[in-house]
Amino acid sequence: MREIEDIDFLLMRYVLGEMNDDEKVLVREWIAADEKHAEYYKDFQMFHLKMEWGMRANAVVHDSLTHRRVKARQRRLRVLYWSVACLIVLFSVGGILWMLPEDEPVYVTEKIEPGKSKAVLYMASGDVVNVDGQTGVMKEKDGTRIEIDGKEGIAYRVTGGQQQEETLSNRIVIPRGGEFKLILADGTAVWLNSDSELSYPTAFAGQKREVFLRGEAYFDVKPDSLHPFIVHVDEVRIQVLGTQFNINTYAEGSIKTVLVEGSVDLRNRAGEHVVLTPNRMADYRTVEGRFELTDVDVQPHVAWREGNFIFQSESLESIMNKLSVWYDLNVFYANEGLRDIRLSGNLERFSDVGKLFSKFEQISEARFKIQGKNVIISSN
Amino acid sequence: MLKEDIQICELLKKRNPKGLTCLFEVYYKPLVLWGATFLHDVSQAEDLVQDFFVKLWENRTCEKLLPSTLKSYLYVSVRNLALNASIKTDPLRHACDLACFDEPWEEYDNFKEEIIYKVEKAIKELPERSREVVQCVYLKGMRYKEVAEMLNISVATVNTLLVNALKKLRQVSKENENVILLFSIYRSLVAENEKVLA
Repeated sequence: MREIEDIDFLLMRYVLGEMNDDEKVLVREWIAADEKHAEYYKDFQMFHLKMEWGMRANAVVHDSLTHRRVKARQRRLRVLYWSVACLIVLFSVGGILWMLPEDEPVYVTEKIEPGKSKAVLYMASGDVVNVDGQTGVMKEKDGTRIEIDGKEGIAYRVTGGQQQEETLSNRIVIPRGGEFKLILADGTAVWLNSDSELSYPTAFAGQKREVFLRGEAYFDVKPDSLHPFIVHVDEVRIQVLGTQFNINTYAEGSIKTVLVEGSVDLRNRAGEHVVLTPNRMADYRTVEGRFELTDVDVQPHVAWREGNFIFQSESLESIMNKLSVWYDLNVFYANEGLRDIRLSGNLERFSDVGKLFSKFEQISEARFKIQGKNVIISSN
Repeated sequence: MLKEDIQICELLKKRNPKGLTCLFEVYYKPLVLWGATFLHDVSQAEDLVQDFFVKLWENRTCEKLLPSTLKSYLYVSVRNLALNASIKTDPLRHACDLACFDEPWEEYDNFKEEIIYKVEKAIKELPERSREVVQCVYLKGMRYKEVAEMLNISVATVNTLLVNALKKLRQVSKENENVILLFSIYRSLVAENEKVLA
């Protein structure tokens, strides 16, 4: 180990594990002999690693698309896979913004697409149908015709003379950013809002007409005094004869029923019940297990069905909950206090949500920042 | 602490998939290279880092991450996972490596893409033979003997080519790094060796 050149040759073999034990001892002795030797070794090792890293950097499949392809087979990697897909969308829309320094919240005119008519239909046969714009006719096992029209929705028509032996159940799921209209076998029309689900029989048999709801829906029930129509929402059953009403369960622990006309009877499992009259709202608190009745203006509650959002002195949190479901947004509050500020405004459901945000900025301290699908709300 | 770290932690806390995406963007490549330092295998390191990310997400560990310790947490975790994996696959070979590779963590902490880029460029400029040898040893993890056989050269030549490649790389690195310090170490070593010789 006289020459520095020799040392490099030895160290190279040493770090690569090419030495036998005797040689290793020699090298270790050399390293330990002097602080400068140790330093030189450390330095050498560093370059060795850098060369390794530099060499291998090429081999790392950093490209997200390739990564997707390689990993698509692994089911448990779905999360990552999805997030990578997200990346492409997010970065194409909001990527540039992401890089900008966050000095002060700036309102950004970035267009967020509104929802549209779409749904997934789960049939009794186990078939799953994606209803998104197409038109067609299908038949359930019991002979019920299912007419699908991407624009008009789905309608169930009972064909004559069929015998009801067993009740077949269908389920329709509306994703975030979707809405859908459904006509049940009895002629009852149901408008389902985003992120909602309805289970119902393909044909109504027996004394009652029963359906199960999660999310938000507007019902226009076909009058039939002999067969009461019952909506089950969580632990509440809402019984009607023929009427129009809206049920909303978006807020956790709260089931809001607003009556437009007629009358409905609400009952929880404990047997407690109230009768709702038009222009009144029953808010069932699942925690307390009680109904709260208030007088309301029906319009804001049912406006969504006509393609409008109407907010009247509503908390920002509640407003954003509704908007996030329809526009498929993630909402972040930089300042928790902002959740409670009250705002009013109208918006067409099919237009750019940014317009509403800029109005809100004019009338409140809230500032909205849109980054892809994320909305960050801060105060000015 | 990077600005990205704060954002990643914030998003992950809210279980926003975008947080995972950002984590991937910022740390995937460096972590793979770091893991490959112990595994001597890039694709194995990639699998390891991907599994690690998925576990972070599924076990909800990601919700508890702090921006101030994110980086060290990731590096230490990947190192430990890699060491566990390498001991399982090849206990003998890595016994020596552990002693060698315990230190450079600090260096790796300051490790930047531009260094990789510079090294990549330097490697491209190497004479063909040297590049082949570097590739075989560093990328494929081949032994001297295997490389020598494959390229039909002597083991000593393999070593020479590697050392020369490393020297070139040092020259490249010196241009931007602490030239004087390295040079002075080198000089003092030479001087010392000359003394020994005398």
